[in-house]
Amino acid sequence: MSLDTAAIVVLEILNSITILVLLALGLALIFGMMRIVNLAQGEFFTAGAFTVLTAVRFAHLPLWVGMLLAPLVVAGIGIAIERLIIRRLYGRPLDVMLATWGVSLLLIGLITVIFGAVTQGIPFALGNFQVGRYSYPEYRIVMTTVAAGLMLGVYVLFRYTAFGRRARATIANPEMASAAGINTPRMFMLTFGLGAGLAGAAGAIMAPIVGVVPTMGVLYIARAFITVVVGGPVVLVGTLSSASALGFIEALISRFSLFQIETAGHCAPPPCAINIGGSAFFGQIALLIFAILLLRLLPQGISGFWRQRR
Amino acid sequence: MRRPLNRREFLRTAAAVGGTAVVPTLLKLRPAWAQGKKVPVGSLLDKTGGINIYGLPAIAGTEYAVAEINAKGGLLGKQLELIQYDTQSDIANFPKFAKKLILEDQVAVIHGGITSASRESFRPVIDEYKQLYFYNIIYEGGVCDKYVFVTGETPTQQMGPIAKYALKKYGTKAYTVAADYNFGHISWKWWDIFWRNGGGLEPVAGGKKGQHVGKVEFIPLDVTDFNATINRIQEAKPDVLMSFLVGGAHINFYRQFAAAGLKNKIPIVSTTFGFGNEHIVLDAKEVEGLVACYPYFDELDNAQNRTFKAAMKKKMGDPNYYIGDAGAESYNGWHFWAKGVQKAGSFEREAVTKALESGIEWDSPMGRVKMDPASHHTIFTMHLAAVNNKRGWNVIESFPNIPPTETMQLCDLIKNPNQHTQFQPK
Repeated sequence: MSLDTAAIVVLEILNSITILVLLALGLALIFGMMRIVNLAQGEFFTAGAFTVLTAVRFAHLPLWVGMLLAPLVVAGIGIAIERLIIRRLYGRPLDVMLATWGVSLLLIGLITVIFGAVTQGIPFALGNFQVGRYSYPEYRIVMTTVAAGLMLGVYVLFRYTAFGRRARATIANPEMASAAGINTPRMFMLTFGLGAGLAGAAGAIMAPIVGVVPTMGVLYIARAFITVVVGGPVVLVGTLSSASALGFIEALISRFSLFQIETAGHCAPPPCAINIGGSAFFGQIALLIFAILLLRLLPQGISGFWRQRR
Repeated sequence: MRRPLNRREFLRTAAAVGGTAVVPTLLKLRPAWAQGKKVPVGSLLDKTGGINIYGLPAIAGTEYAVAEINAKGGLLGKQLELIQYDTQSDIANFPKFAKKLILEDQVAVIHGGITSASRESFRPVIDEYKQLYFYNIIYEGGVCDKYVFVTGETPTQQMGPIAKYALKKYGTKAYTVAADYNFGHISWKWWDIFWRNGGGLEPVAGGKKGQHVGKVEFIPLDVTDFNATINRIQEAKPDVLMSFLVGGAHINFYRQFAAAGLKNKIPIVSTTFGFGNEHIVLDAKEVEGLVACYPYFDELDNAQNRTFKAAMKKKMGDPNYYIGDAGAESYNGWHFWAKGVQKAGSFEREAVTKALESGIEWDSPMGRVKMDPASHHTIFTMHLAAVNNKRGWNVIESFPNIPPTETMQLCDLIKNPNQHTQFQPK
């Protein structure tokens, strides 16, 4: 493997990890920390993308303004949903699941009514850079930087601020936190809002590279859950380690050529065989198999395993 | 308190129950359209979900065609009643709604189906109930079925002109990306033949012959990230990229390809780009210059198309509405059927089939179109065109009366009327 191919493979792996981190970070707070199976998480992602679309297409704001607005808008939606629905269902995991599924369908319906069921695009301007024989879009690097920034932000927030301490105390032991004077319902609300906002940010960042359509959340929700479940209960370490492991496997398997087939036709210039495989298809299969294996071996997820070992 | 049932009431109830059981059987013998003032006709298209980039224009073309036929007095003195079901880009819905159209709504004809996977999912239902069916969209060719008429284009009609143009203009090394289902796989097999032969089913004398570099990649319909694929394309250094990508998620490929700075380095040709109006979703700076080959572009200049375009813009309430190939082919499908009914003087399947097999031709918005009697496929004038920077297409070259040769070679439904199959290259 030549040097530039090696470099591009590293970039591909980084890109796979970035996307998984973006998808999973918000869910890790909501599902990993709060134990809420939020089936509407995909629609928070969609709402983020549509916020950017609205800002750029209809309000004619610059792209980055739309991207900054998206997490705020979606956090607002998240807080509203927590206040109206989820708050009444804490401690009833199956009911929450059903309710959030309903919210998911409702949001898809609402977005479809407002924007129509058509695929829309957000063009973007950044250029590309050269890696040996390859040219690679700069935006992918921006995505990785933003994902790293979001992780760092979440770390600082939960580790060093009063809000973070209260939120962690609330999640660890709500009664004790409440007795110590923490407004626990407020903490639940804000944590849920934060999780929603992070999904909104992910939707906003990914909007320019994917088609924006009301049902787009459905394409991502499964991968978000897989990443969080494999990651286990520790939000940041879990998300990062599982996204790294799964992203690495997915990107690497996507690279291999798996087999050759003979082509039909009149073979004027040989060779007549062509490689099949090394596609996103096999990458996805590998990701799923690897996730199943990991969960069989580490039922608590990667971070749960580490926590047990200590 | 309940009264015991007396004899009169018992008889009345029994008659009612027996009657409801018998009536549908009678109705089946005499279809709805043989009695009422209205003739129910059915359409199965994806109004929502990832395939609706084709479904929405096809629905627009369908609704306009039926409204137009009704405005001109209907068919055989009867108005058409269009019954549409949204199949939601979910294959499971097609056989379900097809049965509903046939058994409950008792339609005279079914139009629709978009992906080849959806078509093959309910073609057995069509065959089982001997239902007249029109498939009005570009596909991989080879369907040979007495009950099916195709008004979409097939590999010879698209790949022949595309291969010749790409070999002359770009070079001999091609890389292929295809949607991972029957359409993509069968299209790849035909493309392999056309590309290696220099643009024909048999080797074309003189001229260059194509070859493949790198891999053929089959990409599932829900994949949205093409980073690795785009890097592999760069590794293979093709002269041209052939795209059989399909649906809303795959639109992202073109955007990501342009973002990697490849738009001006590796030209793209496609048999699918554009009939879902992808060139409207994407920006000119992302796809300008991409080459495709269809029988219909809004830019075609003829009297029928001018009327058609004005009417469609009015219907959609959008002066910039782009109809596209999917809309025009749906429109044509309904008119082919209407001409068959008028010629037959009947809505019966056998009579309409016979009329259509007499070789109906007419001047449509895409110009003269002709139904090939033996293969039930359509002969068009094909236009090779490139995306321009005005959210439209510039026609490069036109090829009059191109037949769907790959299917016509194998399929003769007049000689073998009991055929219900799909041919594909080995």
